[in-house]
Parts: sequence; structure tokens; C-alpha cells
Amino acid sequence: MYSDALRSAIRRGDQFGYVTRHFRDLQGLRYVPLWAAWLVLSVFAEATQLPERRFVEINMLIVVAFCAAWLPWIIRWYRLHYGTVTEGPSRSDTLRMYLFMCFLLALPASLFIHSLDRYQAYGYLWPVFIFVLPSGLHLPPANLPIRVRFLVYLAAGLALLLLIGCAPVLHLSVWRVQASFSGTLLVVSLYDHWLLSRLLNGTHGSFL
Amino acid sequence: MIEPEQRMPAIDRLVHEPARLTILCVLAACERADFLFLERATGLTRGNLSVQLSRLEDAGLIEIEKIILRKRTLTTASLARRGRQALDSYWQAMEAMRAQGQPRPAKAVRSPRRPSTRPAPATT
Repeated sequence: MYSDALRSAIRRGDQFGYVTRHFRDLQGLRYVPLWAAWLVLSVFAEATQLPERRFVEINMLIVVAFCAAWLPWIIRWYRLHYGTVTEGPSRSDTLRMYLFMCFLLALPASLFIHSLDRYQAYGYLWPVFIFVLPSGLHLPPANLPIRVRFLVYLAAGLALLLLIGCAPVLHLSVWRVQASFSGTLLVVSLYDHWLLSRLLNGTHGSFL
Repeated sequence: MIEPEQRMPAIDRLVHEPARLTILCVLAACERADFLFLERATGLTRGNLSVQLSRLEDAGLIEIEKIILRKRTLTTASLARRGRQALDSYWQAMEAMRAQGQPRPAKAVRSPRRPSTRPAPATT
């Protein structure tokens, strides 16, 4: 019995550590509008047969609006509602910055690739994939919702790898690939936010 | 009389208290956290959290810093080196206690051979 109580205390300690270490990664609402906008755009474009060559301009507009309007606001909202955690300088921040720059370069480059082969124009999705997916693939502590997060990320990662890998072979349109891609990331981001609000409501995680 | 090897390891009461242990666990996983995050993570009331932070600061386990940010006071806490040592020692002591609390594996004791109740085979 005592051993169970101790194990439970250690488990809760791990849980606190997890939510603190991955506080920023769990702020899923940061990216929700971007994925939602991509999803809506792609579904609309697929339905209305919007020319595929327009995807770069429209995506650029969405990314600029997202970075200029939404991101500062949501960062402030999280700070006011959940507080702030300062982490030490990490290599992942630098990597994220590089990936974002890669994305900005890859998006217009995709237009050129599209002119050569329309079924090879998904290159701009790779930086997004590497930007988002590894943040959820950490060894989870013994907590069911956190383990589910790990599994969700694992499943999403495999599905997206399969999607991007098979899309040129299956001759899927850019809009269809982008819709599947953003739809998957939307689910992942919403789960992250739900998990954060669950872990930080104070009662589930406390030792008390 | 208790054998020395059976004595329970000393537990730091300051760290052992659940609210303070929660605060220390949170601070051990980051460089610095603010009052609001600690409040959300621990589920403590503001008054209780403030008292526990003061106790930990008085004991030298954490460091508290107050800065003015956009006309608002932002209170942040970080784990001091002494606090990290205290937390490590605490988990080690708890592990040692758990190890002592484990039931020892029973040694295989050979039971004395029972006298056979079978009738001895008849010899001719």
C-alpha cells in the first residue's frame, strides 16, 4: 500500500515535470487557425476547382495574417490565463526558426516544382511536418491522457508520412493533400490544448 | 531493538509537504515559472501558494524575483541549487524507504522429509 502511494507520488511528479517542460508545445490553440484556414481553403478549392497554381499566393496570405494578427494575440492570451514558464536556451528553438525559414523558402519554390510536375509540389509541407510532429514524441510519463497524446502524435506522424510519400504516386491534387495534412494537424493541436487545460486546472495533477 | 539497517531514512519534512513538493517538482522542470503558472499547476489558492513560496524561500530552496512588467508586478520563482539537492535527496530517501518496505523474497527452505506412509514393498 505504501509502495503504491509512493509510486503514485513519483508519477505525479513526472506529470508536473512533463506539463512544465512541454508547456509551450501544449499550447495547441497557437496553430489552430492556421490549420483551420488551410483546411477550409483546401476543401473550398477542391470543391470549386480553384486552379492549383494559386495555392502559393493564398497560403502566403494566410501565413502572413496568422503571424501578424493571431500569433501575438494568442501568446498573450496563454500568458494571461496560464502564466509563463522560462526554459533554458534550447537547440529546438533554433531548429524551429530554421524550419520556419525553410517553409518560407519552400512555399514559392513549390510553385516552380508545380510547373514541372504538379504531383511533386508538396515539398513545403515537410518543414511544417518536422516543425510540429517531434514536439509530441517524448517518452510519456504514466498518465493516460499524456500517453494518448504520444499515440496521437505517433499515428499522425505515420499517417502524414504515408500521405506525403504516396501522394505523388496516387496523383493526389495539392488541395487534397493539404486538406488531409491540415485536418490531421488540427486534431493534434486541439488535443494539445485540451490536455493543457486538463493538466493545469489544478485538481488532477496535485499531490494534495 | 531496531537494527541499524532497518532504520527508516530521514525524510525532509519541508520538502515532504504535498503543496511544497508540487512547487519544487514544477520548478525542477524549468528555469523559472511565474506565480500564475504555479497557481494553475498546483491548484493552490493564492494565499496558500504565497505562504508556501515564502517558506521555501526562507529555507533557501527557491529564489523569488519580482519585476515590474507593463505596470504590473510579475512574481517568478526558480529552484535554487540547494533546492535541487534537497529534492534529489528527498526522492532518494523515498526510494530507499520503498525498497525497505518491499517484502523480502522468501528463501527456499527445504521442508523436512515426511515419513513415508506408504507401506514398504513386501520382500520375499
